[in-house]
Amino acid sequence: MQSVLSSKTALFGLILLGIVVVSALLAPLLAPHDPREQNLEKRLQPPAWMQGGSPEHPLGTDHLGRDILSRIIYGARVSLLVAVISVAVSGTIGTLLGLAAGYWGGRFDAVVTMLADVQLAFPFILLALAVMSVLGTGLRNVILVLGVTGWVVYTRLIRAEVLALREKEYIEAVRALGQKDHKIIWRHILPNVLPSVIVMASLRIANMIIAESSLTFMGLGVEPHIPTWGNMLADGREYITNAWWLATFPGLAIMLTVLAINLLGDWLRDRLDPRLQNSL
Amino acid sequence: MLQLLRSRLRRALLVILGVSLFAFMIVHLTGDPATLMLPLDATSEEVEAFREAMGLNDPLWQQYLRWLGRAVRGDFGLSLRHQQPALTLILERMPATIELTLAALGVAICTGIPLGVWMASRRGSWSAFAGSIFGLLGQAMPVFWLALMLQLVFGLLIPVFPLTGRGSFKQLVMPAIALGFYSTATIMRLLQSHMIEVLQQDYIRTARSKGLSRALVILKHALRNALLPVVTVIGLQLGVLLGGAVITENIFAWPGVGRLLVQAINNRDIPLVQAGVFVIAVSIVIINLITDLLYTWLDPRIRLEG
Repeated sequence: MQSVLSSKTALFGLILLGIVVVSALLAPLLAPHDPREQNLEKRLQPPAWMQGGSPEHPLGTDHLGRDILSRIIYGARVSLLVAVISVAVSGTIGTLLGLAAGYWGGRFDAVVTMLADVQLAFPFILLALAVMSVLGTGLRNVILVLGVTGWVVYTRLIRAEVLALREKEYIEAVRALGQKDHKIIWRHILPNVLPSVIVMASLRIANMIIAESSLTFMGLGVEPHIPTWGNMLADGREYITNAWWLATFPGLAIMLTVLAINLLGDWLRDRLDPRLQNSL
Repeated sequence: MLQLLRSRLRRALLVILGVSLFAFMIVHLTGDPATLMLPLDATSEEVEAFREAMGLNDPLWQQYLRWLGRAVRGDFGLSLRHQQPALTLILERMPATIELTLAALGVAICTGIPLGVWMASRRGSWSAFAGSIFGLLGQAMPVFWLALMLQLVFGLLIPVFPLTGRGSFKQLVMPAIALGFYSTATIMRLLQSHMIEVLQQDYIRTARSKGLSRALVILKHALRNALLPVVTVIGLQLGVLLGGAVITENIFAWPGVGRLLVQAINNRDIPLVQAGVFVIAVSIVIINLITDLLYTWLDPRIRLEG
């Protein structure tokens, strides 16, 4: 019963995420308008079902007369792109550091643990804001900052797992057989921690989507001329008193995307690594 | 216990040292702090004079030691914009941020714990299902969007609460809910899963078979044990909330450290950014230290061993 219920939610997540991914990939085909096309005569047009709305712009238009639905569809591209690349970067850095720190221990481990503690002392968003202000805004720098600062969670998780694995008899056995360290890590330890990495990475994609949109919303993320959910919300905030749809729909897009990823991530966790249940 | 305290303190001090190194290094990320702090149209003579005056021509480690020496005495330099000591400006704003953060934590604890208990004890029911949807949505909603939606619904459509500002209780409600909502969901989901685990233990069955009421068993026997891991998370949530306050304060024009910091970041007021980042990071180190010690003290298994 429990598994049916959980797979139902996972299926829901999968469908939802599928819609987002397809929108991102096929944006030029699916979007009814060019997301940057301005039309000041049609500015702040409400959604189609409201008085003054037209089916031409199902979710209405923004302060420059741009089509909101098209901008949301194109926005999915940036969100997914930033999230996937930054998770790939931080996941790789974090896993490598965690493997090395856990396996070799000693001074390297002490330094890595220390670095992790230092970084955890900074609220993620504050760290990202400060670094972005120095590096300058832009898509590339957002990916860089999120990719480089996201390693800690992986390192802590993997290090703890490697510490436990290292003591296992089969690892001692291959070591006694004279297997080289890097081969032991690659062939015997990595495959065992990989499920945890995958689960963590899937859940982190959701965090990265929120982080990118937060940075962009605060004006220190992706360039304002690129249609992203964060930029749309920053515009929407200015018009919240007279045009609620500007700030509502892009936020819904973020929430549903994050929800879909979390549902799938939870399901993956239960399937791949039930031990993680309470630690994530 | 004393030994544990000593080792934790030493560790916290080391982390603070690392934090200081980072706060110092922020300006050097691009290589030249002078171009970062001076207006874009500064002449090369002005830049050179500025570098000389700030000691930017010295080796980096000398600059760091000098900066640290001053920082230890609370001197982070003058804010470039306000022309007042940076630390004073930050500390003046601290009460507002602490007020908001604690209010948000209050919201999270007062809603998250009862909801978590309810959902664990009503497992499989419709209300538990509704609760889990609430939790999932809570964790999927970005703080800033929730803040905007609260403003839209309770500030504009049904104007119950003022949109922005600080001073009255009414002005605290929306920022506290916006900031605390994610933590509500986190505490709720965590407590629920621990409660379900605890409720399956033998001693719970024993307590039930002794004839104790269901409510008593849940509240006295199960909650106490399930709450333990939640304590750690509450400590961690304080750090999350302090970070989230940066965004929340900006949306609700709440005059705290976060708002000041974002203004400082936009003005490239580096001494102020350094002081703010340092103060917030040190607060988080201290909160984590206290959580850690509290957890150790609460859990007799660790307390008696250590």
